[in-house]
Amino acid sequence: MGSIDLKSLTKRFDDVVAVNNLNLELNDGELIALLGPSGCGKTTTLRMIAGFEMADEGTISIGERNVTTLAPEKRNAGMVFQNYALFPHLTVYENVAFGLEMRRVPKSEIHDRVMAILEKVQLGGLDARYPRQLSGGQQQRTALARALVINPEVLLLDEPLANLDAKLREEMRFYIRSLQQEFEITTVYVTHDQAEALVLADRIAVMMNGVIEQLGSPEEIYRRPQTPIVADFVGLTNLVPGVITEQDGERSLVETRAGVIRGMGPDSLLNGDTVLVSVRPETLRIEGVKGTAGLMGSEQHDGTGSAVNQLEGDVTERAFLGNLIDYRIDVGGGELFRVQAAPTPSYDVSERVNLTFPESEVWVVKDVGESISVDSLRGESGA
Amino acid sequence: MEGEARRRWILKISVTLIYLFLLAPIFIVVAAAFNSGEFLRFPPEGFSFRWFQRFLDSQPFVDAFLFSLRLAIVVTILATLIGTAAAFYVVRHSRRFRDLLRLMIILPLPVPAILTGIALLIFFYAIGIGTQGSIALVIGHTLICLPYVFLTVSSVLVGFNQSLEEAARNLGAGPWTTFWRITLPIIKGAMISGAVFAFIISFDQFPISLLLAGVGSTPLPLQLFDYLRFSFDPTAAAVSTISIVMTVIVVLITERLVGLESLYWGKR
Amino acid sequence: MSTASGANRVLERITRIPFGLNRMILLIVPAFFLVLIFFIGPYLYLLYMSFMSQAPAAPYESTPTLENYSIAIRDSFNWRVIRTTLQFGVLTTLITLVLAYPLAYHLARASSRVKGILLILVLSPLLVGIVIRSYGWMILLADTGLVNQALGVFGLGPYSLMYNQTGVMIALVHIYMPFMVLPLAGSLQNIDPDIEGASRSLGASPWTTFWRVTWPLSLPGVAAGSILVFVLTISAYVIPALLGGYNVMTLPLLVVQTVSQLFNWPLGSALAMVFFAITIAIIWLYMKFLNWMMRGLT
Repeated sequence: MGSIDLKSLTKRFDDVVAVNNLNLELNDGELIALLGPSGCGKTTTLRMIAGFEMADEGTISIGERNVTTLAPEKRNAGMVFQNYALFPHLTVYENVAFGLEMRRVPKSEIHDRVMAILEKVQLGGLDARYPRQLSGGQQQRTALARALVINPEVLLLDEPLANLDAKLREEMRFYIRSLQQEFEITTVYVTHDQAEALVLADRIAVMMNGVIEQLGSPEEIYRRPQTPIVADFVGLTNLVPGVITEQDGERSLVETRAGVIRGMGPDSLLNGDTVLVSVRPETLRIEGVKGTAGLMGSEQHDGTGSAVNQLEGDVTERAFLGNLIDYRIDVGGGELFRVQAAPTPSYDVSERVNLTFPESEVWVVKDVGESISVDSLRGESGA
Repeated sequence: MEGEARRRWILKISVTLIYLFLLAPIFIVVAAAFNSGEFLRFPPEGFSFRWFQRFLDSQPFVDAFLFSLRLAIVVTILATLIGTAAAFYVVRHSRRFRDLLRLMIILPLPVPAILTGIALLIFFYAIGIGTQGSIALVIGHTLICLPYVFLTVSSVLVGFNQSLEEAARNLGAGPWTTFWRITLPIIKGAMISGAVFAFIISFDQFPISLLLAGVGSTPLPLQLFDYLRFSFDPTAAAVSTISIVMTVIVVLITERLVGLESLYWGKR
Repeated sequence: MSTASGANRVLERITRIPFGLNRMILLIVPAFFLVLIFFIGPYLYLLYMSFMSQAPAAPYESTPTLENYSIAIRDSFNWRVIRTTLQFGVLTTLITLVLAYPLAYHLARASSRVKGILLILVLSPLLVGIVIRSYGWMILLADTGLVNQALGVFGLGPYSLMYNQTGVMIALVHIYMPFMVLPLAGSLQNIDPDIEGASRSLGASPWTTFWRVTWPLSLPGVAAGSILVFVLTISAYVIPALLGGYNVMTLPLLVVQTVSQLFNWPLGSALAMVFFAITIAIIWLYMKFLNWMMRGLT
């Protein structure tokens, strides 16, 4: 097993910089997810580690070896491709045995190792099948077995679950994670699916436009995004622009068009900074405003006089999601809040409601002026 | 990765050489047509149109050219009509005999044309038509060109989304209106590609013509062949160049009409 | 709904002609009779003719015999011609395969922008008549042709490249190359580049990857191209005639000579049937092979 060390890695295709001066270090046995929208450079990074693309600048080390210019077959990196790339003319057994044959492992040992790993990935008895005779999940596990049987130093996974249906995908997340931990193998996992990254990874590297926007634990990425673009890409969130009126250590008070919001933010923030307040839809509590709506509605609408972290608004849309109801609530000042709450009690469109949220669940990030483009990125990530 | 780069270069160089090999004879013919000398030499002896003049002065060549053109046009029309109709029937309406009918119509394609020519020659003499006039040639050429039209039109009809026609009917169009307004515009490209194939196959056809050409009706390739057996002065090059240019014009017109890809793949 | 299906039923009734026959059948009638009368008919007649006796003053005499076949196969001259023809077929196919493979691979992996142009380059020779292309080779390969002129610069030659088997072979390879490139490129294009990548990442060198992965997966294309080129080569007439200058005798030349110059219809027919049988046998073998190959695929 070995660590991976990427130092100032750069790759250009014609005039496009796919990966820009990227640095990333993986510890031995760690699983890092490269998360980002398509075209962000995550797959290019993976293919450079595997040796399919040559880095224009920078170095790649696996363990103690500098492999930057090494041919793919000399890197000892197991790879699982997005469409599995199983050899269609070979059986499951022959597919898995291929890498061992290349390493000139004796026939009897090949047999034992192939059978053992097929058993491990629950493909026992399917060794004589051809790939086309397998289900998607079985093909996926064959690809995993083929990559793992050679005892690679590192495991590279390129959107390995993208071609599975939703239910199987969820199962396989846990399966891959347990397999990876059992083999204690350093793994790079490329995905555009943030849920996958959050479940699987020790650390997540969110990539945008060829650079790592943020590297951190799943919880840090989700709850403490460093830039608006990360906040918006990972999970659903309400981003409300505002200005800091008071900063005390990690606690911020922000003036927004919808009202004053109190939340947490890095202590580097200063009074007067323009920021975005991120409030996750599931952290908002929704309550009916009974009888008071007609009375005080207009005054409360512009935010003055309302309590901190408490907003009032009208339901403009609601969508039933089964376990949740997804609301859009107009809180005035041109701000629409998205709220996901339990299906009971439920509120109808145009009903007036009260939103409250705890200070600890509000995260403030400095607005660097690129938040507008986030929506366009999000569209791609669903593909 | 030195090895990878070197391999890529070796592939590139060999591929370039093979392309040269593929295209050289055609360029040579065109070059010879415009060269003023009797033989093509390097360096060329100068530019001249004299061989084209020779062609125009040569009655047999001009006659053969015009005959080939007329023959190809008649054959193209026949093959396109018969082939399109057959494709419609086989794809849309046949049931039990579909595979058999398809095989039957395509059969002239894989079978060596020279054999078909022999069989037709003996057959035409046996039934008393012989090879007088050009009826034998027209039938032989149509037979050979039919599969091309049939295949290109079939391939579009197979992929044809019939709900388009159903939508038209649903919107109130009758069967004929639907055919003219929906079906025909969609298969038009394939018909034109098939027709162009038929035209080029007929215009360049040799084995069938060799056996079925009667006295006084010699297609151009046959005339050229007879000429080349005894001499290969550049008059032949001029004739060849004209027929190459004509093919290019036909292809370019098709390209304007339906796009070049459909010509190669028979799609759309 | 009910009125629509009612209208459909009316329409169905109108489009039906009596006796339960759909009038759409008229569409197939011309093609059916054209092929039946002028393709299947002549071949059956050819078969019939091959069993007729030869006659001194007429094309044939209608007494059945097997003698034509015995001459077609047993006569040492005819046998030699058959062998030469098949040799040409095998050699041309092999050389074409070797030259076409890199071309097809390059074409299959080219970016879609370049691919269109390359495809035109591969296909354009097909748009030029076979006689014209042969003529191009005559200019190149003649004793005083361009190739010998070029070799002369280096003090080599002149070599006799035309009116012999060398010239015939070069031209055959050239003319039938596109028929090899296209099916090959088709099957190579179906191979996901990631599959080659997977092989490399499992430790196989480029060379091993080619022989263990790319080549076996391209076999359907290899088979399709080879069979096409083989059948086309053995039935070639123009090239052996022009570039072989009748010094190289092949089966098509022999058949045509026998029928249209010697007017020996029965023997010509028997030779043609032998030729036909060889062609059919090869196509059949190819189908068998393809089925065998495809057992893991599709």
